[in-house]
Amino acid sequence: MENIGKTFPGVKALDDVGIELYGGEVLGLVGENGAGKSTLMNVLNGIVQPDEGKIYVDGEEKEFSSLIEAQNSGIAYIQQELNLIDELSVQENLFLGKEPLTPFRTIKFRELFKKTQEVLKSLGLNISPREKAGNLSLAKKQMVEIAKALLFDAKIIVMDEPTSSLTDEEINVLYKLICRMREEGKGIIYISHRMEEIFSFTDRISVLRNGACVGSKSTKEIDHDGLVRMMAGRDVEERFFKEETQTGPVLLELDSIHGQGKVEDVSIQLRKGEILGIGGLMGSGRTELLETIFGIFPPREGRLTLDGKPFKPTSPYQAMDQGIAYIPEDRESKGLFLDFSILANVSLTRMEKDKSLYNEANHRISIDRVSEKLGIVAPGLDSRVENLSGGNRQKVILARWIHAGMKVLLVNEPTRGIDVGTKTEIYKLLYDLNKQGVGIIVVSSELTELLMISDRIVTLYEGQLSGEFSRKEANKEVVLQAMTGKKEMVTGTG
Amino acid sequence: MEHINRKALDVFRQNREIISLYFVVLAIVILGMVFFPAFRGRQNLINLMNQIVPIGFVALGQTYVILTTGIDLSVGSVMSLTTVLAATRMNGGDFQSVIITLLLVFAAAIVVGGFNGLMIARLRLEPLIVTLATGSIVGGIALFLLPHPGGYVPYPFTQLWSQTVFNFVPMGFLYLLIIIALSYFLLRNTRFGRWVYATGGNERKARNTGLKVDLVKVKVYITCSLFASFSGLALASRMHSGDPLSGNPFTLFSVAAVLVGGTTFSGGRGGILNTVAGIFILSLLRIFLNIAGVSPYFQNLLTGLIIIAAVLYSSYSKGSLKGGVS
Repeated sequence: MENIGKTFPGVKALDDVGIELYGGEVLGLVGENGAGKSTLMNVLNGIVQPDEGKIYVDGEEKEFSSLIEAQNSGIAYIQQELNLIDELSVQENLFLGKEPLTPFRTIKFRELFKKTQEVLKSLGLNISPREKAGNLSLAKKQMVEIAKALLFDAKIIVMDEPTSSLTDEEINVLYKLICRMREEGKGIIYISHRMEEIFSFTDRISVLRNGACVGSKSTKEIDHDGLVRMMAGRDVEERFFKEETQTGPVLLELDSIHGQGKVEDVSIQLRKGEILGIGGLMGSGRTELLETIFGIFPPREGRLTLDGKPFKPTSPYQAMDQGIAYIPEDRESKGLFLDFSILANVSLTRMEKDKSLYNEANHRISIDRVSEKLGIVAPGLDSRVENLSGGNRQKVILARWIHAGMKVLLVNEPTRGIDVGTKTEIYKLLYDLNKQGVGIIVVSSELTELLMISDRIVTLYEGQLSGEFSRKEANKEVVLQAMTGKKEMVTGTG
Repeated sequence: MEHINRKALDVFRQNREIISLYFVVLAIVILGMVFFPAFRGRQNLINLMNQIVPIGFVALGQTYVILTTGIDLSVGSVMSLTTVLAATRMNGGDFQSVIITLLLVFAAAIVVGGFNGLMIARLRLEPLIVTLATGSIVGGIALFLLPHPGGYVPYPFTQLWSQTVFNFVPMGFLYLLIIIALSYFLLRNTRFGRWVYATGGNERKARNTGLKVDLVKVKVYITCSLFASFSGLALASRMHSGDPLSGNPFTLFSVAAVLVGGTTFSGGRGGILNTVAGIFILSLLRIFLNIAGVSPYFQNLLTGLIIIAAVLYSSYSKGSLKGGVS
């Protein structure tokens, strides 16, 4: 891939990126969240078309306008969200779109079964070809996808975070598979946040940062610290650290809350003017915990106290009424009305509180003030939120809650998909709210961010509290250890 | 021996849902026979088969559509139009007129289905709205052609449906059995059938895999319309005349039969055997209500309740009411 560039409205996602992959090697692709890894792979696989740059496969220039075209050129893309159809059997999934047919155009099920069994056996997988894909574990589904890549003789195999939900044993199986494919001369691009795997699986590593490729190194030539430096660019800039603040009395208290899914027996306190960071891996229950406080999934057991009064959230409406605000991680699908204007998006919650007729002029004046304070960059309050960049969209949600007023702000992934410049603005806005006495709970999968903005950090593992750290005690290593329980030791910026 | 046992167990495990559905059908039949002596006779069984025929075809067609997460609300109007054409174009029932009428009926159905499919697949319009609109158009045409019930469906043609084989099974029911077998085979063993399931299972993934999803959708709506026209022919030959509104209730019945059979709107789940069970359950219940002398108005009310119960059951048992997770 050469000089790949891609600009999304408001964000330059890729800037002049070039990577190369040789047959028989495993290339690690690393970078912090939002560095452009996924976009780059989407370009390679025809899901996204680049604005500039060229792709060569076996020396031949290629242009992919769809995933299928890329597949036909021998590229297999194993995405985090697997591409199997749950309702079909394993064998049907493997051959979907390429079914062997009899002269009567019916499917040769016997051949399907035999070939599927062969390839599964060659991978050492104990899966029945007739099993429905939906009944398989995530790990097995992943193996089936790999089987599919092998079956159709892919030359290039891209794996995006393949191990994020696998157990150690399953990771070992995957590792052996990767080694085998490498021996067969295939080229593999391996994306992972787990440094340990990057170092043990790959031959070469390319690092992306803010949409640019900052270098490729042989795995042997670089050590862990060097790689982290390349990814982060510089050590985290001190000036965005939250200042030491005087925190007030306890604002929100959770007493052995059992919530949706795995959340069990969680007790935490949030003080006025404090930012409490929650660390945890995907699936640790961090989102569920926030959604429990916000009343989306009311707690099964346990007590909540807000401002010294008992508080029992049964719906978001009610939580909102009591002064709880929530910014979800997937703001586009869970938080914003993309085809509404900024005005309409921001005024929504306040309208509920006012319980009077909607007076647009009043809203406009006060929202204009808020919007200016937050620095929302847009032609005007009537522009559709759809046309704003990620950072500005986030500010719109923030504006909504400021407009409505709040005591506690729950933020899930405050800066996902937001460029570096705007990130620091968001942090400052959170600090400002803090000073006004709002208590903030932040969930973030970016550890650097969590360490930077939190006064205190608690960690969740498998739905239970696994650690608590004051600002002084907290560093990447101890927090990560607590986040990953005691079973695994993973280091990195996951 | 053990191997065979295991295989049998496997078959049972994979088809537990279907098997339990047919136990429900069996239970209803037995209960009916116990409580309604009138239901036991040969003539009543023939009546049952005759009643099932019109709802049968259209429900089978609806199954294809719902499997792809779509819905076809124009089927009732297609049936009405078919009865109107049959009652006005067959003249005295000479061979040539009947053939021309049939060709006309099937061509009309293919045009309607093709139009539905193209609007939904190519222009990405909502199936609900598109088919509601075409249903209104087609229904309008039927009313224009024959404003009041009437016309005449000639005897030789009605014979083709009502004559019984072995003095027991009506021809129409035989046609239905053939279409059931064909549909079952088509959905299970052909590429088209598997693509229908893939499209319904996850349309985006199906597209990513390189399936011609748009073509699948067009074919599915054409199939549905065609099957609706079969139902229309069955209806016309039962009434011996045409009625521009006679197809209307069948839109709801067809969707109900599919849902009662356990095929869900979330797509990719269920199938022909489910719908056949659904058809039997609905038809049997209606017949029992008839025998028991329950007012037809009240029967509609009950049909609605049965649909809600079926939808509730399937959404709870599949856990689709569970909330999202991160």
